[in-house]
Parts: sequence; C-alpha cells; structure tokens
Amino acid sequence: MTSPRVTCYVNTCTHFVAGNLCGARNIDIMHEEETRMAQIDDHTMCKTYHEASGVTSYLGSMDNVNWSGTAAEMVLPGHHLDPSVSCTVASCKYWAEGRLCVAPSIEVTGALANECQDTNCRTFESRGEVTFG
Amino acid sequence: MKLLIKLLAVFSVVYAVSALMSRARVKPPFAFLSTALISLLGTVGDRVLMPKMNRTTAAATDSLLIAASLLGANKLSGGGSRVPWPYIGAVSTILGGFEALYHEWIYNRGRYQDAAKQDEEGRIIH
Repeated sequence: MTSPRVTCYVNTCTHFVAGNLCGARNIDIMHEEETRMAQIDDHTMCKTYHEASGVTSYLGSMDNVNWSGTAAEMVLPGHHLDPSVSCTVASCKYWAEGRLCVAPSIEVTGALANECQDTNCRTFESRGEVTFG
Repeated sequence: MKLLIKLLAVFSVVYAVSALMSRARVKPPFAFLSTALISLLGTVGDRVLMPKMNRTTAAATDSLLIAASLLGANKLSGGGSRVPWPYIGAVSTILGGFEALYHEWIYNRGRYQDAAKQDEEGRIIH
C-alpha cells in the first residue's frame, strides 16, 4: 500500500518544505478531540505538527525527518517529497484498517498554525455510517 | 531555472568583486567550489528554513552562510586564491541582497497570510 501524495500548507511547522511539501518521515492524522469522532475536516489534525520556534525545535523534530526523500527532492527533478501517512480518523471514507489512508492525495491546511489543533486534513470526507457519541 | 539563475548570480559576483578589488585574486577552483557550496547550502536553507523566518533574518542568515562558504571554499581549494575580509564582506553583502529578492521569488509569503483565517481586526484565528 503506497501512501498518498501530501500537500501541506502548514508553513510554521519544522517539517514544512517550500513548495508545499512535508519533510517528515511519517505523519499522524488524528481526531482533534479524543472523545469525538471527526465529522468535518476541522475536527481533524496533523499530530506530527512541530512548531518551528528556533534551533531547539528543529533538533526536537529530527527523529522524524525523511532525510533520503528530502535530499532526493532537492536534486532529482520531478521527485515529490511525501511522508508515510498514519491515520486514525475512522470516520473518513478514505480511512482503512491498519491506520491507512487510501486517498490518492491529501491536503493538510493550517497556514500560520501554532499548535497541532490549528491544522486540518482538508481531504477528510465523512464516511456517513459511523455514529458519533 | 531558478537554481540556474542563482548559480549564475553567485558565480558572477564571486568573479566581479575580485576584479574590482585589487587585493583579491580568485582562481577557478575557488570560484567553482564557492559557487557550488553557496548554491547547495543556500538551496537547502531556502527550502527548509527560509519559510519559517522573516525576510530580514533569512537574508542575514544567508549572508553569514555565504561568508562561511567562501572561507570554506578558500581552504578546500588549496589556498591559491587571495580572499581578504573586505572581499568576503562585499560578496556576502551583495549576495545577501540578491537572496532577499530571490526569496520573494521562490516563496510567496502573502499566500500563506491570506490562507490563514483572520478576524475583523486582522488577527489570526485558529
């Protein structure tokens, strides 16, 4: 199973790479509130968001950097930098067993975010049959 | 295309400043090595770090990076070139100015500002 193509607009994240790319090795898309299933895209978030606020923030996020992908993106024309996507938003129609996202591409929005709750998976589409409680 | 323009600009400035400064002498190994170092490190910085910096910080950081690259290139190229401090200062300043313009070309800050939700007074809403 291949991961979706990721377009990211969260320009305040340490993993953000100019060109709307994500330089993380893996991103976790989750419900914004643990006790409530997402019903709209605003209820989702990219938990991997790490605010870029100085050298220490970069050091703190270095364990999740896609080094080879980032290097390839810089030198290979046409290469698209994509992280693997681990998704727990079971109320989305693109979610699949095993924390998988089966969408061909996703968009993570939240320009000028300063915490992960400010980000959203814009590709979220409600599955419909899931009950919310 | 953008990278090619950057390479040409760096290479031209490295040579042009040495031609204007009698104390400086630049040999081809230094010119090629410094162009490669400045462009490689600059490109990585422009993609990964620059979007999270403000305009001034990004240009100033690039100037420092250019100065360090010139010193490094001088050492690595065997020292056949004469690279005095005024030369390093002049090249760093000129290329720092170029980078400030180049950043605006490769990264549209306004688009992200527009994309963020704002209230009536222009404050960002999260």
